[in-house]
Amino acid sequence: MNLRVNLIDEHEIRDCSVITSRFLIFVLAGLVLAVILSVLGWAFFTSQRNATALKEETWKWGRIEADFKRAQTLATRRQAIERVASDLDGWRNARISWRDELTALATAMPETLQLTDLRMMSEISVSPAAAPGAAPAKPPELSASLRLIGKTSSPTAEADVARLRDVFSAHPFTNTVDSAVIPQGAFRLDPASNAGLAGRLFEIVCTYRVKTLK
Amino acid sequence: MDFSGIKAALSLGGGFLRDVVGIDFGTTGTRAVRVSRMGGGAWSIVRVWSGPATGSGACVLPRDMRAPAGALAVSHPGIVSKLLSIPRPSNKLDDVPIAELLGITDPKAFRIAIEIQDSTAGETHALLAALPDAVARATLSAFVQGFPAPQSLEVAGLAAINGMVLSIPGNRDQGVILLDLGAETATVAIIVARKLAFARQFRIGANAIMRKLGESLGMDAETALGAVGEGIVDAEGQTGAAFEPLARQIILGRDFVSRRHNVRPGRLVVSGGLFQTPCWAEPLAAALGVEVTVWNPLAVLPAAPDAITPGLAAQGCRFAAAAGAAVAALEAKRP
Repeated sequence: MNLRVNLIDEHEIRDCSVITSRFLIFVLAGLVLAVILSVLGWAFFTSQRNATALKEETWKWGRIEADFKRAQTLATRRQAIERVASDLDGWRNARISWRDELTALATAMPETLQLTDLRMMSEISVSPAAAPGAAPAKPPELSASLRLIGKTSSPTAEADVARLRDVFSAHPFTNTVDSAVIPQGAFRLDPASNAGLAGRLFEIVCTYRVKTLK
Repeated sequence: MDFSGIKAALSLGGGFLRDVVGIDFGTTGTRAVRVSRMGGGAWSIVRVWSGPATGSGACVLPRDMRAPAGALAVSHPGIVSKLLSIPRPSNKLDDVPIAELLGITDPKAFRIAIEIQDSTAGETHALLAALPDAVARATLSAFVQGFPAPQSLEVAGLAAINGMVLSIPGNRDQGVILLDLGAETATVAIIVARKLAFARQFRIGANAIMRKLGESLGMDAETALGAVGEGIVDAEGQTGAAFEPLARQIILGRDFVSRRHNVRPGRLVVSGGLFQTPCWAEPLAAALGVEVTVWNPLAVLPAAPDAITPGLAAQGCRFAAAAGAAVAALEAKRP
């Protein structure tokens, strides 16, 4: 038994929930709008911040650009100088002190021998690079030699020449000389007319130890 | 777009009502009763409000009366309500001239609603109500947005009688005559063996009765109401005569029910502003020869502390339609 005769039309009944469909739509639309605005705001803020940072950096760069270029040039020059200095150090370390060598030779020179020619030769050998433009496989090497040519009229010429050769096997030459030899046929008669019967020509070739330029 | 699934998951509404304000746009004033469903399913009056008669739907409710849902009740001389016995099953009522059966000559000007009470293969008992569409629109126009959101629109007399039935279960089980006496109309329902056996609205209201009483006593209606109601004037005979047209209609209805159902209701339950003074029910009790009970919803329904001010409690019978509409709305959408 129901005595409730409801005269309201279906479309006149409104949703009485605290949260209505319309309210939910508004809330969802508001949320979507808020998200979109947040994203746009964040993008705008970020772009503005980046633009400000770019301006600041550009201003700073404008102030230091000349100094930077100058520093770059100086660094390039410094590198070149350091390279030259390094080469010079290498050279200084590898070079043979001919003054010391000749002083020692003068001291040890037998009195019966007369030098007529003295040749100091040095050569730098550079090993080929593995590929074009690449650095050499080994650093350059300095090889040196000393060639002594002389004459003597001493009756003990052969022994004197041998003694001179042996000088290079003793101190101080042992530090620098690798070998000293009298080439085959280099000790011979002096063909000069005024040489006499005892006159002899001799030749000694000293090979120095190879040094690396580094 | 349907959010019912989301709302149900969030328990927002859930399709049932918990808090309803019943509003009765009466001839003499606007009455509102806010009723909430407490834990355990019991109702409780939360707030009661009475305002001047401002015409249908033109009132502004106080903030504490704005429940989420609203159940509206209207009174109007043009309203027709009847219990009809239609010789058709309930699924074949489409071609029944309902408006004609209700005596309405211009069906387009009315909105008609039907509530089927019971139906067999050969007969359908239906309670019908017709309300001028202009009155319905005017009433609902004040509720197009905000709270309360209207859930129902009822005839005030039927809403009051429904309130009597819902609030006192005994009224359903025993044979009882229910009367809501408004200012301009009276609604009578007779219930027998848990069935609505008779229902009709008459254009005999408290105003007409008081006018007749006043004329017979040689005073105006308002003076007669005060003088007789307070017992200053002994006018038993004149009062019985004033109530005689209404009593006659009720007796006719009761006799009809007695013949049809072979049961004679022995109780009368009345509501309406006039019965705030119980002596006005005595002429009806005497004419019908039954026991009379005055239904005061503010006394019957449980109420929260301080929900009803003493001034309004004294006028409890006037809130029958508002309380009945609210309770019916809660019952229609109960968890």
